[in-house]
Amino acid sequence: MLISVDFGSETPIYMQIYEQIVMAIASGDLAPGESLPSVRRLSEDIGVNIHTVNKTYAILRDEGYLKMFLRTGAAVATKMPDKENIYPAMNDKLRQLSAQASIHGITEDEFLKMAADAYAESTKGKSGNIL
Amino acid sequence: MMNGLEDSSFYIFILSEVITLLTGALLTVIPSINRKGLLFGVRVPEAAQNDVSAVQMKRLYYAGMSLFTVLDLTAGAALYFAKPASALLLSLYQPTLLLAAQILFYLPLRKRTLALKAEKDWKVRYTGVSETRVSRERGRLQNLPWTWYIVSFMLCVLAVAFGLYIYPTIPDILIKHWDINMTPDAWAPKSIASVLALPLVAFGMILLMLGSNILIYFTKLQVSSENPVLSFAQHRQYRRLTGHMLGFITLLITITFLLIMPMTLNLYIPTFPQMMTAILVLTVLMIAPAILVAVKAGQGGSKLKPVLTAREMEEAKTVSGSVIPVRIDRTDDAFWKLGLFYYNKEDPSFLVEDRFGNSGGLNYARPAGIVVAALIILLTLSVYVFSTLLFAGLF
Repeated sequence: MLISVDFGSETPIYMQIYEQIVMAIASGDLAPGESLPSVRRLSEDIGVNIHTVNKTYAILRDEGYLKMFLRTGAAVATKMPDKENIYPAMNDKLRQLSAQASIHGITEDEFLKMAADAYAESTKGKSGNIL
Repeated sequence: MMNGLEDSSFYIFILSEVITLLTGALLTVIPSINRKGLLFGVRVPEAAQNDVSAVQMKRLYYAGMSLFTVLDLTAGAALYFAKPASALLLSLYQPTLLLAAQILFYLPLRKRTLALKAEKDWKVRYTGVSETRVSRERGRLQNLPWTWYIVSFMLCVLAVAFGLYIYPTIPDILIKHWDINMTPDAWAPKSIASVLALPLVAFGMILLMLGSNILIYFTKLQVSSENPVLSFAQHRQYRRLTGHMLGFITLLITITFLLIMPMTLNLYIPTFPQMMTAILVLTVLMIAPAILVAVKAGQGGSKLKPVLTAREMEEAKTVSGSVIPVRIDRTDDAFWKLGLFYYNKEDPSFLVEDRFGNSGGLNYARPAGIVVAALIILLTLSVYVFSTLLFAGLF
C-alpha cells in the first residue's frame, strides 16, 4: 500500500499514517498477515522522526490491528479484534458525527445513506468481516 | 627521454580532454535529466517546467555550460601545446573547473527560480510517501545483481589458478617496474605474491563496488508527490538499471586488472601507445554507461516508463481519487541549504537523493552524514594536494 503524509496538514502525522493503514486493511490493500516495513525503514522513507512511526505502530498494535515482532518488524494481524471492543469508541464518534449532521440540516435518511456509501467504499463492497 | 615524455603526455592530454568533454556534457544536460518537480534545486509543480521563464533559464544554463566546456577544452589544448608537461595537472583540474563553473551558473539561477516561485505563487504539496512493500524490500541484499560480482570474483579465482599453474615456467627474476617509455627500470625475484597481487587488488575493487551498490540499494529515493505510484515503479526499474550498470563496471575493472597480470608476470609487455589506448578505451567504456543511464533514465529514474502491475494501476486510481484538500504552507526547500545540502534533523536517514547532481546525497543533520562528507572531502583534497606536489617535483 501507499502511505502518503502531508506535512502541511492540520492532522498530526502519526494520525495520518494510522488512518491510512486502517483504511488499507479494510479495503484489502493490506492483506491479513502482510508484513509492514520496520519502524526505522518506514520513518526513513516518509522522512519523519522515528518516534512518530513508533507511536502509530504502538496504537495499531494496542488496538489489535498489527502484530509486532522483534526480528521481522510488523505485520497486519491475521485475526482482527472482536467488534465488542470497538462499540464504545464507535458510539462516541457516531454521536459526534450525527450532531454535526443535524446542525448542518442533514436528515436521518441522508445520514444513513452517507454511512452506507462510506461503508461500501472503504470495504470495496466486501461487507462484514474482512477475514 | 624527452620524446617519450611528450608521447605519454599526449595520451594523458587526450584522456583529460575526453573526460572533460564527457563531464561537461553530463553537467550541461542536468536540468533536462533532473526530476520534473525540481527546477535548479527548487521544488516546483511539474507543469512549471514549461513556464516561459523556466525554459529561458534552462536555455541560459545549457548555453553557459556548453560554452564553458568548449572554453575549458580549448584552454586545456592551448596550455598543452605551449607546455606538454602540464598534461598531468590538466587532467586533474580541467574537470574540476567544470564543477566550479556549474555551481557558479547554478546559484544565481536557483535564486531566480525561488523568486519566480514566490512571484508566480507556485504551490507544491510537501508530502512524505512510502510504498510499504518497496520500503520493506529496500536494502534487501538478494535484490542486488549478484551475477556481475560472482562472475568477477570467479575471474579472479581463475586468474590465481592460472598464475599458480604457470608459476614454474616464468623467469626467476621479474621486471617489477617500467619507466614511462616502457623500458624496464626495476627487477625483483619472483614470488607467490607476484601471482596473487593483482587478483587481490581486483578482489578489493569488487568489494568496493559491491559496497557502493549496496549503498544505492539503501538510499532513500525522492518520490513524486504528483504521481507516487508511477514514481515507485520508476524507482524499482532505476535501482535495477543502476545496479546492473555498477555490476558491468565492476566486471570491466576486474578485467582491466587481470589484463595487467600477464604483464607483471612478464608474459607480455605492451608498448606505451598500446597501454594508453587500452586505458582510454576502458575509461570511455566505464564512463559511457553511467552517462547513458543518467540521460535515458533521468534523476532517480524520473524519465523511465515502467510497466505498471495491475495492483499499481488500481492504486494509482485510488490515490488520485482520495487526495484530501489540505493547507499548503510549507515546502521542503527550507531543508536544502543553497539547494545543494540537505539538512533535516527530523529525517532519520543519512543517505538521501541528490538534488542537482553534485555535493549532496547526504543528510548533514545526521552525524553519519557529516562523517561521510568529511571522509570524501579529505580523500579528494589529499589526492589533489599529493598530485600537485608530485607534479611540482617535491617528492
